[in-house]
Amino acid sequence: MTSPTATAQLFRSLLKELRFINSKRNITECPTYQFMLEQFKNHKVTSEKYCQGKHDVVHVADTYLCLLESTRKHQELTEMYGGKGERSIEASANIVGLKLPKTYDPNNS
Amino acid sequence: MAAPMRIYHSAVKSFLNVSNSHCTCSVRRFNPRELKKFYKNATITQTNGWFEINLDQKKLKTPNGKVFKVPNEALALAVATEWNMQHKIVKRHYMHLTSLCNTALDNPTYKSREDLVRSALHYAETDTLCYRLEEPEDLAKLEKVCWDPILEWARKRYDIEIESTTGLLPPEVPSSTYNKLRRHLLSYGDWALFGFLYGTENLKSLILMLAVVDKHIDVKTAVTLSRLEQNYQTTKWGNVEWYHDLDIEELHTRVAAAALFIYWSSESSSIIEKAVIEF
Repeated sequence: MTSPTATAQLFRSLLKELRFINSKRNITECPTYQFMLEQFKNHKVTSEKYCQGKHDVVHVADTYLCLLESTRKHQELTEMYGGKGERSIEASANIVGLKLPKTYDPNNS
Repeated sequence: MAAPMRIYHSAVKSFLNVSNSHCTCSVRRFNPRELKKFYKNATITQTNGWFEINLDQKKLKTPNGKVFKVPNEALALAVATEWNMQHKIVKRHYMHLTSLCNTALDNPTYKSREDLVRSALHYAETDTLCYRLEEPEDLAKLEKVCWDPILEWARKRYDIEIESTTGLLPPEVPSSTYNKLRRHLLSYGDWALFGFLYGTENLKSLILMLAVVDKHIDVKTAVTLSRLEQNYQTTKWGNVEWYHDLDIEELHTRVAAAALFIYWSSESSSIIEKAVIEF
C-alpha cells in the first residue's frame, strides 16, 4: 500500500508528462487527463481494486508513467545522437584522431 | 531506391514461384516512407462495447485494413495519447501500444494461442535468471543476491521446480513445471498472450515477465534485473549514453507497454473471449 504523498507525487509526475504531450492544448479538456483524474478519485480510499493486493491501480499508473517518461527520454536521446546521414571520410578519420594524407594536386607541384 | 526494390521483389516472387495474384492477398501493406502528421487530434469513440480511435474525423485502421478497436477504455485512451504525442512526423516505432494492438488484431504471423504459449515457454529453459557466472566473484555474488529472491518467489507462486546452472547446457526443467506454466499462461486472453510474448522476448526471461504481470516487481526493476551483467560491466568500464542509456530507455518502453497491454486487455475478460483469432 502506497502512502497518500507518494500517490500525489505519482499523479503530479503523470500530469507533467501529459502536459508535455498536450503542450498546445488545455490539459483539463484532454480525455486522458479526465480519465486519469477519475481513476485516482475513485481509488482514493483504497487503491486496491476488487480488494486484492495484486490489482493495484497505483502500480498500473506507475507503469504508465514509466512508459511515458521512457518514451520521451528515448526520443530525446535519439534526436541528440541519431545519425544525420553518412559521414565524409575526413570526418570519420577525425573521430578516431587521424588525418587524411594530402591529396595530389597537379597545379601545385 | 524504387528500382532495386522492384527487382528484389520480382526475384523473390520468381524464387518462391508465386504469381502476382496469389501474392497480393497475403502480403502485408507496409509503406516504409515516413508518415506526415495528417491529423490534428486523436479521440476515442465507443461502438458495441469496443473502443475505436478517430484521427480528426477518420477512423484509425490496422495495417491490414481492419478497423482499429480495443476492448478497454484505458487502453484506447493510451493509444490516442500515443497518436497525440507525435509532432510533424508520425514515428510509428515509438508507438508500442499501437503496434501491440495491431499485432493482436491482424495477427500477421498467423499464431494460434498454443503457438504463442509455446514460444513464451521456450524461454523458461534458457531463462536469464537461471544462467549464472562463477567469475568474477562479485558479479556471481550480485547475481545470487538479485536473482535468487525472484526465483524463490516464482517457485512458491506457481509451485514449480526451476534450478539455476553455471554450466553451458540448459538446466533440466521438469515437465510438471511446463504444464503448470502452460496452464497459467492459457488462462489469459488472446490479446494478453501477444503482450506476454513481446515482454518475454524483450526481457529474455519468462520469470521476470511473470513477476511484472503479477505486480511483484515494477518494470524498472525487471529491466535492471534483466540487464544485470551489462549494468555490472558498465559500472566497471564506463557507461556510454548513446548506447547503454538508449538501450535501457527502449527496454523500459517496450516492457512497460507489454505490461500495460496485458493489464488493460485482461481487465474485462468477458469481451476478450470474443476476440477470436481470424485466419
